[in-house]
Amino acid sequence: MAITFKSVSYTYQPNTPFEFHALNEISTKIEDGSFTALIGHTGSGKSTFLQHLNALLKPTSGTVLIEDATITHETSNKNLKPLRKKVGIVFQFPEKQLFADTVKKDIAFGPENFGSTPEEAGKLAKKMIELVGLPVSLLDRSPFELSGGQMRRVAIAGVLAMQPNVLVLDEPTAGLDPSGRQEIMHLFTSLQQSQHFTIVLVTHQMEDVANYANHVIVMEHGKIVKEGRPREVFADVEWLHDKQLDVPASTEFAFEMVKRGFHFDKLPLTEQELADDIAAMFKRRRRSNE
Amino acid sequence: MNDIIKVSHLTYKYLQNELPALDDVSFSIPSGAWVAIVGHNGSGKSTLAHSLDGLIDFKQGQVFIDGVELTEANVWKVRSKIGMIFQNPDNQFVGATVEDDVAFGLENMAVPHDEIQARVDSALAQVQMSEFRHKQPDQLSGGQKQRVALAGVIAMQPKIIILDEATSMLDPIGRQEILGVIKRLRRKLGITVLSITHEMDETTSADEIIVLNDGKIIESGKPSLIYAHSDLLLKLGLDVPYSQRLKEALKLRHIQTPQAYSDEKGMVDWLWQSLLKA
Ligand SMILES: Nc1ncnc2c1ncn2[C@@H]1O[C@H](COP(=O)(O)OP(=O)(O)OP(=O)(O)O)[C@@H](O)[C@H]1O
Ligand SMILES: Nc1ncnc2c1ncn2[C@@H]1O[C@H](COP(=O)(O)OP(=O)(O)OP(=O)(O)O)[C@@H](O)[C@H]1O
Ligand SMILES: [Mg+2]
Ligand SMILES: [Mg+2]
Repeated sequence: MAITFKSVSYTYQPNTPFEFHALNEISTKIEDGSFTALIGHTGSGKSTFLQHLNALLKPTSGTVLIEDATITHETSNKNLKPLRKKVGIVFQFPEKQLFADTVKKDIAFGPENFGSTPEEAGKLAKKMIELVGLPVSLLDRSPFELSGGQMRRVAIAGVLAMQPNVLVLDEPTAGLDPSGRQEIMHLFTSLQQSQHFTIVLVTHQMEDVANYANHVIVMEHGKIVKEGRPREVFADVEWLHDKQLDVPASTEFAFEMVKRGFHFDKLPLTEQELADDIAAMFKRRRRSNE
Repeated sequence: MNDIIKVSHLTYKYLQNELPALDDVSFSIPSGAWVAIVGHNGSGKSTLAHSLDGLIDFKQGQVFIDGVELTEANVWKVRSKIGMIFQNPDNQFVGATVEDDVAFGLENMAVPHDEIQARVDSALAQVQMSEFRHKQPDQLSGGQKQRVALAGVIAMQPKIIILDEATSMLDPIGRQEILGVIKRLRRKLGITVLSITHEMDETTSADEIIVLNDGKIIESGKPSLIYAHSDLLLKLGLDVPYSQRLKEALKLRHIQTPQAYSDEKGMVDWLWQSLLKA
């Protein structure tokens, strides 16, 4: 499912002293089946952008095209239910997402609301909780009596249970432990491949951008300041530093090596690429010593 | 003997659960130390933090803060020594505006009005949130909320700061900046910091790391000691700092790497020595 932004601006609390222009004339296209990563400084407008992807927020001006639906500031909320099924959002704070009195009801709510029988929905809840790495015994617990990382996993399970076509993820791995982070990112990509999901991810983990995304959008002050494939975007380390943005740890490490006189044909993005490059340097050194 | 935090045989089970969230936990922290606490999701980190702040009514074990035993009678006295940042900043905010919120703790401590103003101004400037001072906390972005929560403890200047994943929604550069602010404050005032985190790179400069697993302390010690057991950390669902990970990746490619833990800079030095030095 493709989503297109045409000159989208968004203003919080217009015509009040708190008026704030969070998005300014954003135009871009999220391709069907793509994995888009949205990066940028605190307050640059990432969460505001995401909430336009299923019309939780509507543009103050401009239009958002979500498959065949056109969203403008005049669109009424009435006909948005089918859209909300197709585009699932995992919010930045999981507490915002959770509401039911048990974990099971929380996960089953979406499917039931969109037509599953309670029995089917219950089964799905059990399947999803295992998928996100939690014990089934938590199903009867209140979602508010969990640790932060456990809440996060339940919120993710709830959105996956709706089987959306577009998965919108606002810092979904914040609060997860390191192995949980990896497992959840693997889960997202395997779903993307097996079910042809479109994924839009906001993250501060540049490793995840390098490892999984095929399209990167860099935001600053409510505008898109760069867009492209990860390798293009991360190629200009100095530009990113200048914008107060980070690059993947491996790229940063290689950049430090370059400052000490090393040479790379192209800067590595991942640990594997960097280790391969360094291994090749050792090989060359050994050969020239012989 | 100036352990500012001392915990002995602390055990706590939430009513509805079968297993305890904290299981016979004992440790002590010398005044002025920076201690990192790591552990898998649900290992008991937040429960431990809440126990130290008197937010959990534990029946088994003892907690001493700055020489005072934590009891129902003196919970306020103990709490006034601790600046705590909760895992979700929304659980933290009490003020109607950012400015009120940062001032709140100080008003409770009966700090004179002029000084409150000065401390609030300075704290907001340090976390780069001055221009948001009149906003409502719930109208901020995730990272802005975390910055405001941090400004609250910076202004309070408590003896002990407990950070429960307080920077999880900051970009990496923002995180470095804010941790830098806390580090400087700590050095200036001799504050003790307890930092719960999943970012291993944040633990490298700690004096000590405590590893929790299923409510038990499974290991504790200096960072270099903890990282040397990378297989244990990985088995517990944790990670090692980037330089250590790179080292493991090089070992897999049959490259002999130095034994001892070194940070990124140390690794680059070593590569330069081995590959470029004439
Ligand atoms: N309800 C609101 N009312 C007024 N301003 C708001 C509101 N929500 C967000 N803002 C402002 O809009 C700007 C963009 O916020 P947004 O949440 O989109 O940022 P973000 O890029 O997601 O940041 P972060 O990485 O910190 O989560 C921020 O400056 C924020 O203060
Ligand atoms: N209010 C509560 N009621 C019942 N059980 C709880 C409550 N809060 C936490 N627990 C349980 O206690 C255990 C420890 O939780 P705690 O929040 O201390 O973990 P944590 O180490 O902070 O995890 P995380 O990294 O996910 O934040 C978990 O199994 C959790 O499900
Ligand atoms: Mg956000
Ligand atoms: Mg926690």
